[in-house]
Amino acid sequence: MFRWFDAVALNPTVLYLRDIGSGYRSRLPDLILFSLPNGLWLLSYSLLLCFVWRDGARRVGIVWVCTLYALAIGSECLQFAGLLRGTFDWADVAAYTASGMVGAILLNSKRKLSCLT
Amino acid sequence: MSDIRKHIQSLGLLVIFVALAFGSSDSRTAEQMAQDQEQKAQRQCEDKITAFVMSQEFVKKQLKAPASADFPRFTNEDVRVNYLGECTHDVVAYVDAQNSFGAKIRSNYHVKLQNQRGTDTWTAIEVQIVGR
Repeated sequence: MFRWFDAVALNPTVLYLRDIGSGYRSRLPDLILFSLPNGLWLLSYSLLLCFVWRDGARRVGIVWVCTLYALAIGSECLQFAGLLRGTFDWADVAAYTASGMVGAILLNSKRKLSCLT
Repeated sequence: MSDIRKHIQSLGLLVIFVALAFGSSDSRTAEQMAQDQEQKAQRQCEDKITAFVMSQEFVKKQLKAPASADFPRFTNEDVRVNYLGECTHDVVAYVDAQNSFGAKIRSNYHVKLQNQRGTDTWTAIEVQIVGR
């Protein structure tokens, strides 16, 4: 399923792990199953940017966060228009927005700890 | 570290994360997806653990004090779940629960239940609790 995992021959491991978790799948809300990973994806990017910009103009890092946020929201819009494969979901938009905001707040914070450095 | 270097690193991260997003998208064809969906529905409908958990819900509905109910684990030797085919399971187990007098007693139960294929909906066909 995941092309990258396939490319590095990790697909059997991923499928095995997914099989273990399949029992819990029906008990988890869609928000956690489908939208949370999107939010964590953007949040991890924001945290890495926070690290990169830890001792410089951290607000510039916010622009970089906004760039990926815009791309993510753009992809959702394209899905809504049927121009990109996938399903438009407001929960995905909310997850991206929440993660983008957390990233921006961390980058805007003057405390070094906020960037986990 | 110079700002130029930070911008290059930021751009690198952006490219990596965009590539990750595209790489993790679903590359299956509609036919493969339908096949996977079918397999998933089959697994779900044959899942004994879910059948056991759902049987507990049907038993609880018939107890005097559902909140006091204690069920054994699926691996307990007194728990038997048989798949009968067509998404139907036969569950035999026990429950420890308070009766009308507040005493906790053990009751054996037998639940025959069916999963509505491809959904999380389960229907009890037969519920028998002995020793309430």
